[in-house]
Amino acid sequence: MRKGRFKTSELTLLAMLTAILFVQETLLSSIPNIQFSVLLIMVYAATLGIPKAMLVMTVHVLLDNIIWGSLNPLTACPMWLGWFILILIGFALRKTPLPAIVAGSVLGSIIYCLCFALFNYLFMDINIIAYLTADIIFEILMCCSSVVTVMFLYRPAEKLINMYYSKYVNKEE
Amino acid sequence: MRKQLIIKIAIAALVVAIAVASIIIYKKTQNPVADVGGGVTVELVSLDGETQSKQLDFEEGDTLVDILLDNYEVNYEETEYGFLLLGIDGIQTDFTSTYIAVYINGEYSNYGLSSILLEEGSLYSFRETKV
Repeated sequence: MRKGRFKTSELTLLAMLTAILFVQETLLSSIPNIQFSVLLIMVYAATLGIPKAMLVMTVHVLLDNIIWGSLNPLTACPMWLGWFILILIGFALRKTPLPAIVAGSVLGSIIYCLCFALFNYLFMDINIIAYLTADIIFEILMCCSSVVTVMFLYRPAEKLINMYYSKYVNKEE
Repeated sequence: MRKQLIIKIAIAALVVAIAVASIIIYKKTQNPVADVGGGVTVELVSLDGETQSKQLDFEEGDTLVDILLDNYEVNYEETEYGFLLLGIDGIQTDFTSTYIAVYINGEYSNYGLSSILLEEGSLYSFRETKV
């Protein structure tokens, strides 16, 4: 295999992980900010590394915005930035104990919400205080779902992806 | 191991309680009702600037949506984000090329119709606006 090319099994695994990320978000879209996205993106960052996690996340953001938002840059850009920062947090905390990862998920959730506030403030000339006040409930909900999902599912999900990686991707060497 | 699980479950229960409380608070703030009765002015402004104005009275427990439905022919949709106003009397929008912007006492409202509280003496303007 030449450097920089994906193996078939790796590409398949990345496609499956992207599909899981997108489908869970679509299924849960009727419940505001209750999601597994923070958990999944942190696990992807920890297990796949930054470049591959970014690839999965970028495909997810594009799909999400093509289907739900007509690729509106005011939604797509803060979403991409928010998830990118979460990938960095997830990668930086990958070897730390679970409580630190849970704290990272809360921080990432807040930063994700603030990215939308920042873009709306810069480009839509909104009243930032009114926006943040109205958004607090949604930030709390996102943090709550991040805490519960990361606390219970981070280690099993990490183990599962590592297992698939070593069983199928590394075996293809 | 067992102790860790108990701690995790306790934290999860606390977090779920916070989430439920947040949802309840959100639901309550979504439909604020008037504490006392009073009167307001409602103004409809079309794209070409034609303005129609009405003085409307409301009672305790009323919402802005209630008085609009009682006094105008309203075309709307109930969405997960609240009441989506698509048309009011002569002003009809498709929400793609035009929409109805709400101004309260001349200031653009950052809240949806369902979240706006009726306040004595206020002016609510519904302006047909290009996207």
